[in-house]
Amino acid sequence: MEMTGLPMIAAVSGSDVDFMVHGLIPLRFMGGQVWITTTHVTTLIVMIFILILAAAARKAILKGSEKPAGVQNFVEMLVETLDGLVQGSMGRHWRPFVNYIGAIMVFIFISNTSGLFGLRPPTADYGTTLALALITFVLIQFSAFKTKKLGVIKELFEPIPILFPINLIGEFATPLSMSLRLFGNIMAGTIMMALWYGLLPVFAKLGIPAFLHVYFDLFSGAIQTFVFAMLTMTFIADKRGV
Amino acid sequence: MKKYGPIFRMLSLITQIGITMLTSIFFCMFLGLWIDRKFSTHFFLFFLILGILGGMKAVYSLIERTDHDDKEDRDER
Repeated sequence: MEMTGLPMIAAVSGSDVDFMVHGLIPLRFMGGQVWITTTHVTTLIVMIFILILAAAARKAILKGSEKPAGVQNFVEMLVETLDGLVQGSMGRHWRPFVNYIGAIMVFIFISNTSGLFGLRPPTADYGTTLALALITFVLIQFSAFKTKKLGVIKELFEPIPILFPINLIGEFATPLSMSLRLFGNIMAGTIMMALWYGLLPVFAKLGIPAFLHVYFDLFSGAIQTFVFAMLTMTFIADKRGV
Repeated sequence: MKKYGPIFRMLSLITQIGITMLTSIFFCMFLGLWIDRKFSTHFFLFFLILGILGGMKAVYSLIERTDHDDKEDRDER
């Protein structure tokens, strides 16, 4: 079989370049075989890390004093910034959504930056980002149904009924483009780092990858986290029309 | 942050335009290809045009959003 594209790059470099998702443990599930992959393992690690952070934050807040200091100060600053951000872009009805926005921001940011610790970022797997975007999509439609009732369906037939398929595609393009954007950015960073570590001689691996990690993992990861949250807020607020 | 909020929001919407157009075209294209292969029909061109129109609609509503934000911003000032 003739190889092109990514498998070919991986093949010419020997076994050093590695950025694919690996199946680790095979499982029987409903008559078929499924795999526990690296994505599941790294997602679990990220989840445990978030749980530890949450427990530490709770401990600091419970022991908190009138004059905040240290961890309490940091946690309060984070929560206030998040509240301000959500309020600024969603207007009056921001309260019910702030928890969801905070949760996806923490999860995506820690997932994106997990490349710094030698893990393969869970967001570099399309399964993860599509799931996140589908949750957002359901939330957008659900909150719109809650405020506009059947007006949401009526909107699909406007301005003339024959435009229904086009409007429908426009609706489905939202979660797909959001998930592809996050996946593409993080996957690109993962591939670049794998190529750098796998293909170049030893002296190129000293010092320079630090800058690349800052750009691909920290900067790109933070920007994509922010953009995902921002788009979620904009689409929800816009679809609700309030 | 409060000062730069609208700018970041605008940037994230504008950078979304390209990928939205691409996604809807490719989504419809693959849907058409899949249907053609499954039922041996010739709907590919129809779905391609549908995808292009859907992409135009999605991009138009994105641009509408940025324009809406801009107007709100000016009104506040």
